[in-house]
Amino acid sequence: MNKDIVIIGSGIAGLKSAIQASLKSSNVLLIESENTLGGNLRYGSDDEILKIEGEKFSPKSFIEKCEKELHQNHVEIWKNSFVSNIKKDDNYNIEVVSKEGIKIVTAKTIIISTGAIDKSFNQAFIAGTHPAGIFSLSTVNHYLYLLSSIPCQNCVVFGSNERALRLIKKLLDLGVEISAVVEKKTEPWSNTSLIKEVLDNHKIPLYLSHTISKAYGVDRLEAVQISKLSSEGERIRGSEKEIKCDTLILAYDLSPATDLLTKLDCSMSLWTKGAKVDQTFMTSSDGVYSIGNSLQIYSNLDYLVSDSKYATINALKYRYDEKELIDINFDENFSYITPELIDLNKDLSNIMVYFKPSKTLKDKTLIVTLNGKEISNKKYEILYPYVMEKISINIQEMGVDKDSKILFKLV
Amino acid sequence: MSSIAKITKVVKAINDSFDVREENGSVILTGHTDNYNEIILAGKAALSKDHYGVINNITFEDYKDEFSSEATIDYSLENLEVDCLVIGGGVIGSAILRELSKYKLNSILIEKEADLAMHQSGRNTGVIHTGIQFFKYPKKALYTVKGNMMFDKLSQDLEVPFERKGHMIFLKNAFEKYYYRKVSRIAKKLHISGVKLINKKTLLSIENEAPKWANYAIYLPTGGSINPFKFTVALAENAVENGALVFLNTKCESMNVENGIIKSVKTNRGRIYPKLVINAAGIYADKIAEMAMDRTFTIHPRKGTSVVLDKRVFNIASKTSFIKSPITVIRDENDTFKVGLIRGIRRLISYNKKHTKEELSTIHTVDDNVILGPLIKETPLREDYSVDIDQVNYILEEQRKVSPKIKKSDCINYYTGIRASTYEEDYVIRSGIFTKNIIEVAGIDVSGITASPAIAEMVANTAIEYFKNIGTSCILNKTFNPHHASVKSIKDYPITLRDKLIKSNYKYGIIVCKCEEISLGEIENCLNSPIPVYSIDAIKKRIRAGMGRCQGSICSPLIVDILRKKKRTDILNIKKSNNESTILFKKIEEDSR
Ligand SMILES: Cc1cc2nc3c(=O)[nH]c(=O)nc-3n(C[C@H](O)[C@H](O)[C@H](O)COP(=O)(O)OP(=O)(O)OC[C@H]3O[C@@H](n4cnc5c(N)ncnc54)[C@H](O)[C@@H]3O)c2cc1C
Repeated sequence: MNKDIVIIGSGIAGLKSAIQASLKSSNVLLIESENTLGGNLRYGSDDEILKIEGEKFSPKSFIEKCEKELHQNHVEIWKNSFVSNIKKDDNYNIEVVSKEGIKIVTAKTIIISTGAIDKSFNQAFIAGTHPAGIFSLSTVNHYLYLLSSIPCQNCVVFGSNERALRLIKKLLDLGVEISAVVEKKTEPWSNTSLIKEVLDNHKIPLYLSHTISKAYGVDRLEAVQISKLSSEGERIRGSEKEIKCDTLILAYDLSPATDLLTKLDCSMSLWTKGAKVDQTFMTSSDGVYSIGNSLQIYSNLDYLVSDSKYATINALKYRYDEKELIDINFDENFSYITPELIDLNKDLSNIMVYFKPSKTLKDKTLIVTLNGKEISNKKYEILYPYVMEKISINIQEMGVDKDSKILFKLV
Repeated sequence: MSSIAKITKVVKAINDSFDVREENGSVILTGHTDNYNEIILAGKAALSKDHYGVINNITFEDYKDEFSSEATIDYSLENLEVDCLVIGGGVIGSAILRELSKYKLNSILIEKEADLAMHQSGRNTGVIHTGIQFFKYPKKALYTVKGNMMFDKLSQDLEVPFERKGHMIFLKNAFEKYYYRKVSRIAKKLHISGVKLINKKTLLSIENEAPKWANYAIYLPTGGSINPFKFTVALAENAVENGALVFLNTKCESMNVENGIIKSVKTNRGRIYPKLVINAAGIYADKIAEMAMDRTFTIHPRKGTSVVLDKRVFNIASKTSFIKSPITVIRDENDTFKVGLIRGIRRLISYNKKHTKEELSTIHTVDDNVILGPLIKETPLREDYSVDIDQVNYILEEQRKVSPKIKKSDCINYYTGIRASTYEEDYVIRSGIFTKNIIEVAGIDVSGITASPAIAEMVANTAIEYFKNIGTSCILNKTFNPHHASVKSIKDYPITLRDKLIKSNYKYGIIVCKCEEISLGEIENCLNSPIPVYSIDAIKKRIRAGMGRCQGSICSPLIVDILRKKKRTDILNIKKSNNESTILFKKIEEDSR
């Protein structure tokens, strides 16, 4: 079976990409491993409101609308279909496992939109036992939203990002007690109004610069031990404190799901942990694009949607060209920048660059230099480490060649 | 001076308040201390050739040495009469039960936990040892070497993945070849075949990921690895297929012993009347022996911590498992050459004088993960599996010297297991001394997986001998079928075969665990096996669903739902492991959603 383009993963990014592709091609395939479309949207409450391209949706209504559009545009959709492997010869051969057996689909271009996953418990290096009651945030969401059951009575939440606070809100509504929120960083990882609404109003203590150092309990969790962190991020011995709870929810920042990218041997970014891409979102595997949370963790839906579309348009136009890549460099005030690469043979007039600062920064100017000469700047009153920023740069007709050096600075 | 007087003197020197006496041929220690190390030292000091063993009853702090976890109570086994009762569902108990099922006997196994292999047998590193390191302990050496040789056939019969890719001991300097001469002498004595010294070129052809400093290696081709959990379950399931019975959640609580005969065994599910009892209770073997009034030994728990690395780092030990030789010193980066050499020579001398500490190994598992460890520590607690992160960090740091490529971020899991060691440090495999109808199989601390087939054969023979003597008929079970169809992982099948399988059962095409690519069909097979266990951990251990990078955070709710449907029960009844390990507390009422 041959397809113009195959989109793997049907979260917001994948859905939008498939719709975009269907405007240009009548030979599009969307593959989803679960039995429903929507990815993480499946864990949304009905009262939650998403604003996408100016329109308001509940998560469910958004999925429904997209699915309808896909059908109208004759996009082939395979649910319950798991991409087990992708092999490359002249084209990509995608091995898909489903109830019907194993199918091999061939395509020149692939869009990877497999979303993000929670890091596992063990990567937190928590000592003690591993009883029932230690869950990652997505596991709790699955129990609540898809199995209508509550896995906790009294929780400690590890992480203070927006996802964590949304879940806490939901749990409070369900009558679950929240004993503490523990955050490794020196500042809360979501905006003040949300912190106030969810934590302060319910008198939930927030332990900043703390980590979970140990878990207690044989069968079900009975307590956790928290420890203070030094400015170097090391545990301070003697600062330990025990908090009774039956559940520990690990709400780390998500990390991109990169299994398929690794199988394709794509170069990965040290900073986003997703693929290293150029300004069209193409990875180091020619014709393979990475979008949505499997590229970087988006904090802005509009960016996610417009990028997904942009990547898809480029993917459909893609034909093999000689690549001429240069790096984008950045200083230590950034936690990452994406794309990290610019392909000089692609459009240089409107390059979208995203970044997150490494911590909250006030009154900063972003300066972009090309070979030491400033080519662009932008002032920011405040930058939050959990909010992504976008800036567009134009380096066309500036005589950029493969020895040019582009640097992003925050001063 | 009599040996007991000598022992008393040494023990008193450790702690004056300890008492030593001799009773029924064993050395008995009593007293109390707040220093656990003193208890271990006293136990070791009480060793003597003139006694059966050491019974160390010195108490520690306010720690009560009692059975853990509450047991559910019913009377489903009340008045059950059996020929043979095996206590303990670890690899030893399971292997013995399978051997017994070769005879027309009424044999059962009881296990206090909700699943098999919940202790040592499910918490080890799965190495099939060569036996070389056990030369000082005759039983360990004998059963390990013999057991090792039985794995080719057994793993085929039971369809358990097994690899015999050899083990390596790396040496750095030429003078360390001295160690090889020692090893080869031992190998000859113990009949371990194929042991040879190889040079850098050969060792790299066998193990291309060997550390740079390794200039020579001792190659032990009989070494291997197995999945110990699958192996234990397969042994027990094959026994059940051949007529034996396994009762989980069933704890031996006490025994009624009269005139040197165990009349009955009390469990939480009723009183059982066995003709013969086999004690394979691992860490609690001394407690069981005590109940049977046949105790001559003490189990002192030794905790081992190990670290599991992600599959993606398979190239660290792509072919073999390896270890640094105990006399090799790897120079720290800031050591000068001379300091390194001097330390090496010192190590060599001290090695000859006394046993140096155990080396950590890099273990290539049959499932392609790499395990580092174990790091061993004495502990008063028999079933405390908590992990000390400092030990995890230490393992990673130490092992980086052997395999510099290892990164902390490659670590996907860490766990502990607790060895059931005796002070004598050798296995206790014997018929009862003071009680006639018991066979003790205790102190199986290291290498018990490897030795299990050989131990089981020996114990079954002893049991048959006993039955013949008391006039119980025990003819061969003519229908015994050694073959057990284990639950297979179909992702490794060639595409066409996998496709065919899915077409015969569409559930093989529904992937539930994405990291390990495990299908609904495989999970259901697991629940249709002779000993089905409806818990998340049971599924995880049997078919690795939830063992991958995300450690079950995506698939565990899916599996909970599958278990609920298959067991036709309320979702709240599905547990992580045993009855106490609740996952879900209540359901969301429709109106509050
Ligand atoms: C960290 C570590 C690494 C190891 N690595 C290896 C290795 O690489 N290769 C190797 O060959 N060996 C290894 N071993 C050793 C091996 O795991 C053991 O020797 C072996 O598992 C012992 O099996 P067992 O059946 O005697 O004990 P266990 O597996 O402990 O089984 C005993 C069972 O008895 C049950 N029980 C206890 N009391 C009662 C009661 N009153 N009523 C009912 N049931 C009871 C327990 O619940 C338990 O399940 C390792 C051990 C450890 C701890």
